[in-house]
Amino acid sequence: MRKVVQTMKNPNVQLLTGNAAVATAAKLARPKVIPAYPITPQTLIVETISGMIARGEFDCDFVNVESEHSAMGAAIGASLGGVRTFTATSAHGLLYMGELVWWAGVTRVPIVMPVVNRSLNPWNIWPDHQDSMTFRDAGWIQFYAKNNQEVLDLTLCAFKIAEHHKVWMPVMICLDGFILSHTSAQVEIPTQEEVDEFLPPFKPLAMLDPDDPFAHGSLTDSKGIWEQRMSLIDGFNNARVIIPKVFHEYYEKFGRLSKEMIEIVGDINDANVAIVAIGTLGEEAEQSLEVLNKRGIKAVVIRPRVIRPFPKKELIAALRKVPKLLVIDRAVSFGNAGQLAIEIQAELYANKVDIEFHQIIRGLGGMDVTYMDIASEVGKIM
Amino acid sequence: MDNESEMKDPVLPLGRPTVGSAPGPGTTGDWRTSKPIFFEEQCTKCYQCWLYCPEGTIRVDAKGEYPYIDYVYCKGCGVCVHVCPQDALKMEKE
Repeated sequence: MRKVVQTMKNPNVQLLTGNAAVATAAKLARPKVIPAYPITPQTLIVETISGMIARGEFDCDFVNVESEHSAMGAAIGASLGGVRTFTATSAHGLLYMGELVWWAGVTRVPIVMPVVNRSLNPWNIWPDHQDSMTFRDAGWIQFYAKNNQEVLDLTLCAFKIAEHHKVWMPVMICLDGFILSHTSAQVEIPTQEEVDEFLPPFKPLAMLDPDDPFAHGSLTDSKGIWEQRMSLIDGFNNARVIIPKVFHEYYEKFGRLSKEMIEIVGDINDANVAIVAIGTLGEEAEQSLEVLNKRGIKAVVIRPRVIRPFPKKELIAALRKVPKLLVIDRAVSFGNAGQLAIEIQAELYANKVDIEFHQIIRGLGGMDVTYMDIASEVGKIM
Repeated sequence: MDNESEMKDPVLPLGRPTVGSAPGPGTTGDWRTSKPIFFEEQCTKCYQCWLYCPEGTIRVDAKGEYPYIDYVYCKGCGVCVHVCPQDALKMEKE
């Protein structure tokens, strides 16, 4: 990643919280309808955007809905009406809109929605990935960001990927609550002209039109459901190709992101152990590399920034080069294990990768996970 | 499959309106087990049957004309027979 430094030549670098980075990216993408309901730690996204619209900073209808269920309902309606649509939520809000999240996912409505990761019941406002992980099967593309810059970059890419006519499905951008959402960091903001060049106007595949009426998602027999589900599987396979292409286009234009769905930090060809983690845990793991190096452990961090579609090929190609693996999950599939661990194990087996596998669950309910903690966990398996 | 033009297009869950409301050709008359028979000589053209038919399958082309039943869509519920004050409609097994 290019080093982001504000200079006289680069006045577009600002100190932004993760939530402000989301709001800024949303504004630059020029959505026409934003129905949203506030929930900690996402509230500042809604506040910032509604303020921008009230001040006339961009042309968009903000729908002040009474719940998340209505927010997603209105977003689906608006998107089918033929305009770019955006919303944002977190934790219980995501669960409450759950039925409509599935509607948008499996019936292909290209909405872009950041999910500010927050722990679920009992009441706790701090981060873990349980909320978004619960919806990894709902037919949404899922990104996990490691810092505020990546939040902005992934949000801009999300629109282009969701609206690609061979993909045409909604995207969740997951960012850890408070660690990103409420922490200020340097973010380089592209100009409106640059974003307009990168992101073309919304071109609907199908649009509700009284002169050419159709129903969306009406009663469907098993043959129709089968056809749509198979198409969704094809859509995710298409997304495996389109996502890296869009990331690469973004890189060519803005110098950030790479064409990979995973990021590798460290020398993978000379590593004794790989650490796999997503979101801010991935970036924290990067900080542990130096400590580990001093202890004579050559480690590498493999961080999927895309979880759906699951970047199987990239992960397996990387994991073939290391003898040991530690997967850190920030969520649990209760009755089994961490979701990342389960899915990586399946791929390791399917591809006959000979590797020593270790898994841990850390950071639930916002519990702090420092680079020293990660280093000590790696130390235990060496 | 890296070539975008070779990728499959999404199948969207779009339903176009067709004649009749049921899946397939929409001929809901197939559902009937008995049907209303209309006797013109007893009818006073009060149009209660036309007003009450829940499916709109009793038609009146112009004021003063006799009503008639569209058997392609009539489900045979018998509401018309029940509301007719003149016994001008009777149910008959199919």
